[in-house]
Amino acid sequence: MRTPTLLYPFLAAFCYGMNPILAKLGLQSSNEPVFGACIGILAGVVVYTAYFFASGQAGQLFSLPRRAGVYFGLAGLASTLAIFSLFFALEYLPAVVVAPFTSVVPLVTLILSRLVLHESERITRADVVGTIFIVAGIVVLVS
Amino acid sequence: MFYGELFALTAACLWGTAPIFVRKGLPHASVSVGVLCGLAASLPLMALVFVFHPRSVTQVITPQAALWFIAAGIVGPCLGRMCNYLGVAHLGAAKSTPLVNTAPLFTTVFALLFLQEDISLKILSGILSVVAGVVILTGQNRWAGRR
Repeated sequence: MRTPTLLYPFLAAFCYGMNPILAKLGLQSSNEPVFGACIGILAGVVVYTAYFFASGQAGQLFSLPRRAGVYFGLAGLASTLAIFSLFFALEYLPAVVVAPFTSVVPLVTLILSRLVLHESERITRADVVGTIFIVAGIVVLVS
Repeated sequence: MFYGELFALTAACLWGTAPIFVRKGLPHASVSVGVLCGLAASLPLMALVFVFHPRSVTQVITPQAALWFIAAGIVGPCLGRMCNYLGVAHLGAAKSTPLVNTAPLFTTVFALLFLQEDISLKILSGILSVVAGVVILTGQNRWAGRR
């Protein structure tokens, strides 16, 4: 794997790692996690849409195949529903119990990649071992 | 009752499914369009929250809290999602997702650095396990290339 391409997932991890700290600072003033999440996503939509149109990419929307739009829409819906589902889980269980459950995300992706993306992605033994180490480590960190 | 566990597992399954959809859509469109479509798809759900929540947003959210939530939204759903989709585009869903999910490692390191929390044996073992996983995942092609 080339280093520049490796930067993307680590930058994403850095951003997702910063996110709960900023959200926690907001929750200290107003303890409304559902509204907080909605305000955050809405801000993301506004900023990203402004960037998208300002950078002259609007033309791509006209040539977007419907199939791709549906897949991306489903990805967005899945992510947002996951956030709401997490909040519902937190109403029944303490965060320390919920966190290990949500740490298994890479295993879900690994299994689905094997089942759905077998033509475009090759899953190696090292992928499986590396994923298990990461999931185990995250479970230890968050529990 | 197992509602809590069920919701937590549902969240994990939904988050785990999202990169698969992204990967399926990426051959037909760019990452930028993918992020925009994904964010736009969240809007109806959020509208439902704003409409059906028993209290008004202005009643319960202070301006200071709103600013923190806006910052969290720009960092997470905006920048984080863009980098996440770029990772899926370049590395594939199965390789990129475990690396993206090292996020709690960053949170732990931030907490150690800025909140002066003590590093316990448990935290150290968690960090070592994550780092080992990252080394195994990212190093495989380099090792294969040297053979």
